[in-house]
Amino acid sequence: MIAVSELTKTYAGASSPIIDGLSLQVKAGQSASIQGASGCGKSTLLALLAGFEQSDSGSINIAGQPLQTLTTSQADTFRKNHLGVIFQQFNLLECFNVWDNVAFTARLKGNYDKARQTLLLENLGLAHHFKSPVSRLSGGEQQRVAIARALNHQPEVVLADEPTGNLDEQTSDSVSNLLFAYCQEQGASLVVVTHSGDVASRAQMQFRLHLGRLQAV
Amino acid sequence: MSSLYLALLAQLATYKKRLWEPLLIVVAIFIASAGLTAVTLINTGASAQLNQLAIGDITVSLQVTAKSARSSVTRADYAGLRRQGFDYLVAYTITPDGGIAVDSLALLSRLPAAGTQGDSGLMSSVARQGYQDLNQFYQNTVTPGSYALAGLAIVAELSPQSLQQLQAALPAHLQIFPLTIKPSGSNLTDSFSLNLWAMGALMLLVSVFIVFNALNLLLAARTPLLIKLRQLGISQPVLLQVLLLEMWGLASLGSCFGVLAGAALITKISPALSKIYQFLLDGQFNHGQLSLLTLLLVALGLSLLAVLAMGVIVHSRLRRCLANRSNQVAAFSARFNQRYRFILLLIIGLVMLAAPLIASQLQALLYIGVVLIVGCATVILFMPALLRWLAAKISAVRPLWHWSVHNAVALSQRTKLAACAFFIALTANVGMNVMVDSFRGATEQWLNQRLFAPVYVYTDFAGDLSQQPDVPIPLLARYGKDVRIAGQLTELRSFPEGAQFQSRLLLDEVAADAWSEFYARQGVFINQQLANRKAFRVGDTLAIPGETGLTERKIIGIYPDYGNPKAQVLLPESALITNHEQVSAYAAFANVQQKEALGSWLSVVAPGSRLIAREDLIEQSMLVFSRTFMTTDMLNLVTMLVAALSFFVSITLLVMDIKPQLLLLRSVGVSAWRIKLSLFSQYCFIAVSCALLALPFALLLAWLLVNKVNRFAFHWTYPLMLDPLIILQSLLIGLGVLLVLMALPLGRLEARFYSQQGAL
Repeated sequence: MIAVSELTKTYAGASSPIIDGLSLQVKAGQSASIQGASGCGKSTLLALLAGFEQSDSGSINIAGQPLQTLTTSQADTFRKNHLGVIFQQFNLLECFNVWDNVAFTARLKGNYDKARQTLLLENLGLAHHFKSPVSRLSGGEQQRVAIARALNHQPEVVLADEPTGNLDEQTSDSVSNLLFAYCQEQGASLVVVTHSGDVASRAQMQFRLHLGRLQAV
Repeated sequence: MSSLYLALLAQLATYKKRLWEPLLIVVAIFIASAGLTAVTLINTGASAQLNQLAIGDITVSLQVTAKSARSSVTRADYAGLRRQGFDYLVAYTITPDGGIAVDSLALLSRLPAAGTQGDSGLMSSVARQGYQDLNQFYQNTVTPGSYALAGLAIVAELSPQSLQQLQAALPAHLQIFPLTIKPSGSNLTDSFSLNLWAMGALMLLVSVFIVFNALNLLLAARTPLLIKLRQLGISQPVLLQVLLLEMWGLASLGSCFGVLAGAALITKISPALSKIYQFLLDGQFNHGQLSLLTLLLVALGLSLLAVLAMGVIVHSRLRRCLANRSNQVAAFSARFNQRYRFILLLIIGLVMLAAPLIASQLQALLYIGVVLIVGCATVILFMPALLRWLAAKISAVRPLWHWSVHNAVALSQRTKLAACAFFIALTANVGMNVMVDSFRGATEQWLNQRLFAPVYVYTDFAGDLSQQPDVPIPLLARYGKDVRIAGQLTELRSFPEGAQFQSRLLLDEVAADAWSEFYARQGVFINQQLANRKAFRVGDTLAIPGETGLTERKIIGIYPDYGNPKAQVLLPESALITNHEQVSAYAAFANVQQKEALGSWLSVVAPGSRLIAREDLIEQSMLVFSRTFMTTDMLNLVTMLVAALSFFVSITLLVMDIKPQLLLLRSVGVSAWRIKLSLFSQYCFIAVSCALLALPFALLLAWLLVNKVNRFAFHWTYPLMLDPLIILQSLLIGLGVLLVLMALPLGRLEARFYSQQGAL
């Protein structure tokens, strides 16, 4: 599902590329974790995979779509239909309650299903919070809402940036369990950027990003 | 001291990353200050023009007057100084009815037109400007001994040396002093002054909201840091000091630069303003009445006051600083609960019910203040509710629209003070426009009805032209006489007899058989000014002084008489034809040929007479109307612009806070263009809901201006005309200004989405 080949990215003014001939393949239902030192380019790699940034060379093929050939509006549509993104800072829509936050991506894609969403929220332990404003939730609950939102529209690819970075150990365990299980169940490819060894170890493929390239752990 | 220093350091460190926060707050205060300065300077410039004594073509700004109230300028002082060669000194005094009496003879040598006009021409020219001759004033029992001279006007532009010479020649009890006079009873001048005063007060109110909104935004931006500093052990008083210090610094910076910008703007547009004033008001726009230093000191003082007032809110916020977020949300929700809305509705009801009880001009103006404050409370409590209602109506099937309205609710809660400033400006703009439109409509209708003849003659001819044997066409004279009725100086004016003229007198109230009583000299019509001043009603009786003593006449009708500050009574022509004091005008039913013949005849019999066609007279009258409201329109627009700019700054600041949400939208495939559209729609929701709430208050304001402020200030009222086009136009102008301003930064928004990618 995700096929990256010889990817290179150099920021203006930088002496060396942050991503240097990187290649990666994650099939449907597979998961990959990426670890690495701060500033090594993990977030840049996710931004390239999400189509937020353009690479200097190489190719990214996600769900059969070569990202570098997409126009801006095609990239928008691509993200809407195929991608789920989980942010470290949750990025919830504060004006919505839990239900509307989670429903947002599915409504946008046009595959909103009330029963499926109810089940998803119950599985994530948010059954009692459907109507709660997201600002009243704890950090763990907010992250679970963000995960539910990223999965609710049944994307083929899920990109997660430190999904448990703000959570305690116990919540981190339950959240990562759900994330990995759900992606496997749905046949979605998952790429997780994390500092946590525990989270990384749950992925089928584990990599470390060093000098712009991925090294299998 | 060290904790104060550390806290200040921490606060200032935020400038490195979030400089736009203090910058936008400075900009908001700068805008308010510049706007207030500009309005104040326009106001003082225009007022100074009104208060200057203009004699002929000369504007008099200095006078010789007594140094203390115990002494006075005597006739001997006047004669002595003129004998010494200071012949530019012209004695004047203020008459008991507020008019001005000047020594017309002394003026003869001073006015450039004297040589060409002749004595009678000059006298009448002086008289036309509303001034009485001093020698006529000091007759019978009124003498300079019993009624002192007010001063000696310096009718010349003197060099510093000439002023020194005059100063040296003055007796010990006299001094040279600036001359500012406001002749009462001048046509529409009071109306103009009141409008200027009201617009200045309005701008001040808007500025107060803008400044408090800016400080509130700063407080909101600083709260997370305050929480951290409190948690690290810095005491509440220290944090209070640091925050107030920052607020005062930013407020002073914004207000001082605002004063400089406002003053610079007025200096820049002064020539243009002067031209407009010269054209419309026959006067100069007098810029520079207030010194820049005074304005700067006032700005600093007001900034300090605002920050100290804000200190109360800061104090309460700091007490809650360690409260968790859910408590704050609960407190926030509690503030907007149903009970408050019910109480507000009750207050609105009471305010509405109190409107008919207004019994003075001061009460009317205070009531307008109350209406605007209640309106602001309505915006604060009902705008989020209105948007929430709208949000409930928008189907979640359209997720982006759904988010837009919900986010607009959140934005509206955080921009309530800026919304209040915009609400006030919009309410005033719509209310004033409806009032002016009603006044314009009423005046036009009144002029069209009252000016029934195709041609009018205005002349200084001493006798009665209509009685001249060789008059080429019949002239209808408008006879006049001034008397006192119930202690009120009142004009007696004639109204032509004949059924064809009855429809030419527009009447607010009329008795049955009014016209037959009028012709039988049993009843009279009175204008609104007399009726309102003395609380006269149709059916009451007036004691009118005549040749044989007081004559009782019944009031049979009340008519509008717009633009005339004086009380007036209409009598049948036959009642005044023999004992009139003056003829104010003649009406002539002349066709083109007859008009030419009349013109030729007048040039022989009464040179200097003016023959004015009805259309020209209406046009001139409407020009007077326009000049009265031109400046207030301009001030209104400045206020609207300032409020809209403040709203824009406020929204811009808050939209920066929701950047993570915008990034999320981009990540889920919403295009940049749709996000911009969505943000713009949110601005529209807020602006339109603000306009919807402003509308009823604007109409109430228009009703108050027409029926209360006009009633007590000028003693006239007119029907309130609610022209949907005028209302819509006023609302759209306000909304247009706001939305154009808010749409401007959207063009640059795209770059900011990508600058957030570090978060990935």
